[in-house]
Amino acid sequence: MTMKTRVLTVALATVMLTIGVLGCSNTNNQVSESDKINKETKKLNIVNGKIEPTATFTTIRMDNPVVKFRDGESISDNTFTRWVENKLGVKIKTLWTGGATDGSFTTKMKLMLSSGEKMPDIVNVGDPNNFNLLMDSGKFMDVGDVFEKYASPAYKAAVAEKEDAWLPFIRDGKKMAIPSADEDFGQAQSVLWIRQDWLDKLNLKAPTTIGELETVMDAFVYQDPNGNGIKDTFALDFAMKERLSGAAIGDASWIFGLFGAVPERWYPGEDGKLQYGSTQPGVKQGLAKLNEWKSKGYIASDIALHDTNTIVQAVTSDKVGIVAAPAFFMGYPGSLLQASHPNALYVPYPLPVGVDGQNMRTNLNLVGATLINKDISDEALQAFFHYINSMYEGSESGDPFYFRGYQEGYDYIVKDGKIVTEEKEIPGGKIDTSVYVFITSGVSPKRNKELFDKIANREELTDEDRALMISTGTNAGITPIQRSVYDAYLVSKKQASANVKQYYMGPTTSTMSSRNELLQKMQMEAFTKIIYGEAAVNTFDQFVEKWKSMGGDTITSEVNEWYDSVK
Amino acid sequence: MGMNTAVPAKKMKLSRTKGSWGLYLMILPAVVLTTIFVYVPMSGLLMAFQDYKPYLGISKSPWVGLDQFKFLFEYPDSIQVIWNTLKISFLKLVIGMISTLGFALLINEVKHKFLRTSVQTFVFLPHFISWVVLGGIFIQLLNPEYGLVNQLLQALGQEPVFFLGSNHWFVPIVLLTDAWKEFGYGSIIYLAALVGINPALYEAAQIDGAGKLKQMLNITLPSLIPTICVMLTISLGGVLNAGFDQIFNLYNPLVYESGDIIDTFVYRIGLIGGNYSFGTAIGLFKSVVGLILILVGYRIAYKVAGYKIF
Amino acid sequence: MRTTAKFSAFQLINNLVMIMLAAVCILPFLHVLSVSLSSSAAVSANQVTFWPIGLNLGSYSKALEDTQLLRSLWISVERTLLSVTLGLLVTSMAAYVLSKGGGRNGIAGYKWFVGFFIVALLFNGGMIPTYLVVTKIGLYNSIWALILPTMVNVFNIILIMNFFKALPKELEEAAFIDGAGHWKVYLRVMMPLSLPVMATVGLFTVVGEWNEWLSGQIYMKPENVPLSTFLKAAISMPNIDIKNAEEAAKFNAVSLNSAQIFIGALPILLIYPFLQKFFAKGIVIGAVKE
Repeated sequence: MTMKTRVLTVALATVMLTIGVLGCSNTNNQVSESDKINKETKKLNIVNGKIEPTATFTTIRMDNPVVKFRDGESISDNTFTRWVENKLGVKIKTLWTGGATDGSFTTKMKLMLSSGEKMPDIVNVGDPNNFNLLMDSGKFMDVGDVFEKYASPAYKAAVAEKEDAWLPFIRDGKKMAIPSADEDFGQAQSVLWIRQDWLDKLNLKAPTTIGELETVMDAFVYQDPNGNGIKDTFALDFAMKERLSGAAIGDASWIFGLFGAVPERWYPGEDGKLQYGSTQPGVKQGLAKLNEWKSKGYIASDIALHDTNTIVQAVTSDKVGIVAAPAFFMGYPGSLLQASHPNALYVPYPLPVGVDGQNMRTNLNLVGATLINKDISDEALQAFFHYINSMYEGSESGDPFYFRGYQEGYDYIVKDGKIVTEEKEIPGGKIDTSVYVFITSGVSPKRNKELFDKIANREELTDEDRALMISTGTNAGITPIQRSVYDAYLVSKKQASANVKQYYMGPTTSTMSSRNELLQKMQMEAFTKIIYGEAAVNTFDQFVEKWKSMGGDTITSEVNEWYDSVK
Repeated sequence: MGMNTAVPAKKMKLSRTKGSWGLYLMILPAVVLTTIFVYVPMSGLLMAFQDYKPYLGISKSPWVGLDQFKFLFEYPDSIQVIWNTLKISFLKLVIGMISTLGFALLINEVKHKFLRTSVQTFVFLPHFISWVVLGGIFIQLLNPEYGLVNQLLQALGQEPVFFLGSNHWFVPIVLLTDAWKEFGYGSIIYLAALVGINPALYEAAQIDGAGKLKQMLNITLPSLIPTICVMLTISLGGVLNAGFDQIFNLYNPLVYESGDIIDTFVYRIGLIGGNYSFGTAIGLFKSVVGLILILVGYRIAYKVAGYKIF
Repeated sequence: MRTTAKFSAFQLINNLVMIMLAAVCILPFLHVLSVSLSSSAAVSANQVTFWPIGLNLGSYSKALEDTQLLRSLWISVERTLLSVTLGLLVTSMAAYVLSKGGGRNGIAGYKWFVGFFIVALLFNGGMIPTYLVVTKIGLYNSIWALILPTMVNVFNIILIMNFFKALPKELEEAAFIDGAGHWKVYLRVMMPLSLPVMATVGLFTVVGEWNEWLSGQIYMKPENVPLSTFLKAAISMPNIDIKNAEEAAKFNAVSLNSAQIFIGALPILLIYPFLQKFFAKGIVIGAVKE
């Protein structure tokens, strides 16, 4: 008794005591107002495209372990940053770097925000959780005016090319971040990768209808396509451990798309209002089909555990016939499979025709954004725009050697007046500098797409094309694996009408933050049980009812309210 | 009651052993460090009653009272999630205790010194393998078609089982793999305690003709009771931590019913968008429950074993 | 005679059981070690069992090439040694005081102190407030940021305190009668008797400090991170996209993790054999008899 009360009193007393100590962590935020008044817009002195004297802006950047460096170079100090400083008179000062995949970038960024430290002048992020946090922090400016004032026509045009680019970044009518102009034009959409060597061996042709698909799947399971005498293959693999749509490898949305629905996405229904894909009748049909496939043994019996990692493992162990994945699939994990099975080959094919002649699949929106500190100095602000405008002008200028200053000796060398890009010709090895570039290599999405089309269709390339390829780190599709990327691109492009994007791009509403987890868990539980035959297909209807009553209806109206406001 | 204890304490002060000021000096560093690095940051617990935003800090974030806790208890699955957590955690505690203790007692009987040392070192190793890696290994081993376990079952004429997809099997698998991973490392504490037993006791027992088993039950086990009490009581403090890494790497929608625990639930909530306050509220809830259970455990240890842990 | 036969039968079976247990523990570890030395493709294809296939030091060599490795290794050693010695000192002193209880030989407010530590065992304010405290008192990028916040481990205090309580009182009392003060009793009587528990707590601390990576990530500049943090960053999985899919295929999450696991277990493999003698039966009593 006494022990308990004492322990609790100690706890309370100390908590009370310490409130004072930490309570006042963010005190010096008030400076900005007076700063703004004193801020005189003074044009920087630019001589031959170079700011004199050098102007600096600060930022933070992500590390990626595959990025290669010359001795002593790093993401914050390399041939590119030196070129920017010498040629443009802009110093990009990287305050710190953090790993993208190990979560350290996000952790450091959150701590920086929490401790009231001064945020960097410019932050470029791609993760919605990160840019939402930054946009809501009140530490970054409404970029509408400065973008209008400082962005060059080429930069503006590049951003404008992307449909609905600004939508995710609008808060209360203010533009809180500049959208990245990178656009996916088909490489990130899933196509069906089918084991061509298996098809050939079993004398089958690629399926174009659901019926043909089933024939192929049956053969892939029961006719020992890998020829090891053991029934150890399964026909189709997809990710469903946490969600059904949008897995990096093994997206399952296309299966439901055959029946006219894309789960977990908001898209317009017949009445023009946004509807939630998971509750559409097509999903019910899709689940019934998956249940049938499961009972016929076409999919793995532990499919409920499959995510991107398990799929990679299954593909590499020569066990899977069909996987939906983006254009890089032969590079990863295909090259791993070929390392142990040199004759194995996946070839990209279009989706088979859906029940009513239609196809649907989720569309990966590439979103990235640049945020500008609201306390940025005028000099840093102009330096940033001078930098990014110069990048866009460089690739618009028609001078294929504009970026030579940081690329030569890394991406290529000039030998006898010709550009040589062979690995062995470049002293110290070839290095792709496009990954050093900050925010953009300045190639507009439209131009980039033209280039991609040219390479994919094996058209003649100009010097300028080659220069752009170096700037963006695009390869010419020479090796079979590189070529498969372009093949997949062409396949995906022909079915572009199947792409269903996430139409809802607004902020997380309060009902979403309190209900989304519950609804998603309910969905995965209900759907998995149907696929496994542990629950009847008709339990789908109960799921829909429950989904609606437990917050789904409220979210639907919130989503449509937003949609009406931006339409 | 408080008064009653305070009075004799005061009286005693006068007659304390000389140099008792030294005692205060000795405990001072621990008190200072704990105050700075544990108690001062504890103001962060206030986030549990706020809608905390990192850029606003604790002083400026809006207060929401008990909303975060309400969310947990009004969440339709919360009873199930808390129940799963308690069930898995208690069973882990019991099985962990039996396996570590059993191993410590048995290895203690190994007379061959080299064998003893090498076995002891080897059983520590699984502790260092992370669940990300072990998850992959166990998923392979338990695969319904080509996993080693199911191949054995089939060889014995049994039907293959999707262990990780069955609510019947999921928890036993979790318990078994956890016990395997931790029994060796956990036994170190008991090995240290075994050292303290007076060999004269065994000699006397041998003269009385007591067998090995009798010695174990009558001498070794009673000598370990203080350590067992300490370990059990302290473990009760973490009873709402059922092992996130392990469950996260093994579970799937088919076993949400039996395997979804508080931490996996909080993780999925977090995916929707960094809700610091909710995470803190859950942490606070877990700590309060842990504190109550430690105090209960303390009473039980005192009542049943007559041992005061502190 | 019959009893001896029974004993040896028990011994034999027991030894066999122990060997089997050891095998069940070492095989997965060997597997993980082989995985860390195998090619990414062989690992993904599940070809590796207990021997490396397509020998590939990639996971290690990428980290080994970096000169930061040696620096981080040194920081880890420094951190671990300081943490163990200071941690043992501070916790055992506190444990000594608490082992005296609230009685005649103890301290006033004993129960308050116990409450103080128990609460600290269970409650913590989380990463953000702790970060604010550590940086506000000027420990950012100091090795003390890795040591001080975790130095007092309440669990260890309770463990040592209970060990102290279990020691025979006679020696201690004799020392007090000889006029020794608390410091002398603590240093000359209690510490020498407590080697087994000190070895245990020391081992836990070494393993814990050696493998802890988060504080390195948030409190230290990149050139001053401990080995655990360095390895976590140096050998993490890359982003996979069109540009580097083939390059990324050379990485394998399991291989990368395996290398970390091996390095994580290294201290216990190196230290435990030396600590063995503290776990040998009868040393406490031997000490008492002296």
